[in-house]
Amino acid sequence: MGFTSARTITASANQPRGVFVDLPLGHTTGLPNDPVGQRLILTEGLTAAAAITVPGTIVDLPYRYVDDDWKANPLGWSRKRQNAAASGGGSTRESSGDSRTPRSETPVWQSDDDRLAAEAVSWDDQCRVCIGLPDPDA
Amino acid sequence: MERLTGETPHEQIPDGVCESGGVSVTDAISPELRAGASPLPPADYIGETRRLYDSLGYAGYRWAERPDTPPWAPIAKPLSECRITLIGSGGLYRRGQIAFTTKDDTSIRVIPTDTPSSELRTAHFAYDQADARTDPNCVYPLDRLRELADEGFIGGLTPEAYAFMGGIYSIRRLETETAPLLVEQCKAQEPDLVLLVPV
Repeated sequence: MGFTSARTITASANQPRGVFVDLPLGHTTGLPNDPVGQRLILTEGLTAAAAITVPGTIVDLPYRYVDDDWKANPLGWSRKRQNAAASGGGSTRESSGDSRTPRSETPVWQSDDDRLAAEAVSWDDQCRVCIGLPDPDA
Repeated sequence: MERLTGETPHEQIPDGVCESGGVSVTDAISPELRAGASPLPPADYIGETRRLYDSLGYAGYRWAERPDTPPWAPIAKPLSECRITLIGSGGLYRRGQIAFTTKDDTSIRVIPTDTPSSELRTAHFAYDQADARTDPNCVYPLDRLRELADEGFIGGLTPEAYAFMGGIYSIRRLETETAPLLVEQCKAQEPDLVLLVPV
């Protein structure tokens, strides 16, 4: 079973059991630092998905984002713009965060500390946890 | 349950009555979560992406289309007895692992399910990661699933969970490289249920 916040994509891929969460991308199982809300989404979603009897069904959970402005430009939602809009400034209709810039085979570390932490682990150990990476000696 | 199966229109549910496990949405900490369906239809990401690609002069993206009836496996146990394997496509990796790249990275990461969420990181290009980096449970609900296991709502988690970077343009590579890896790993965990959390 799978949760989704991109209902049209999930419907096209047609997975056996789906749960739709109508929140901006990046919040498939809830909003940040909201364990209660995340719990509601998970418990209701798991229960509903387990009860599906027709393959391909997507259950719509009865939750939504605080406003619907983000749906005017769903690819462009960002926390920064949301905060700016909430404080009365900025625009939520700027261009998408996915700018189609050239793709790179360089890892995009969340922080430099992560890169150093990974480099401190030998390649053999990495193979235990990172499966399917290209062989560095090839 | 009835309201979730469509027997009751969402519009008839006033705020605060969506209860589950002893809590309701009025207890939610985030002021951004509301009960009830949005009056607007779901965001059309296929159409939005088509428009974005057109505006940038890129060829149209070919979404996975699977019109046939999907494969079906009955869930043989109640949730309270199901061991779950979590798979997330939000680019999650654990500190100490190699971050994902942005160029059709078809590799996967093994996330032991006792990993503290403070050690989870994200590497993705197609969604705003600010909230996921503040609280990985937005896209990889390990803390919540551990709590639900402790409470007996689910039977438990398998020792390993998995993560990958969903922004893979080649459906062929996703199907021939990433998916078989995930299937092989999942089978070894012997779960009763696999929970996919894409972004």
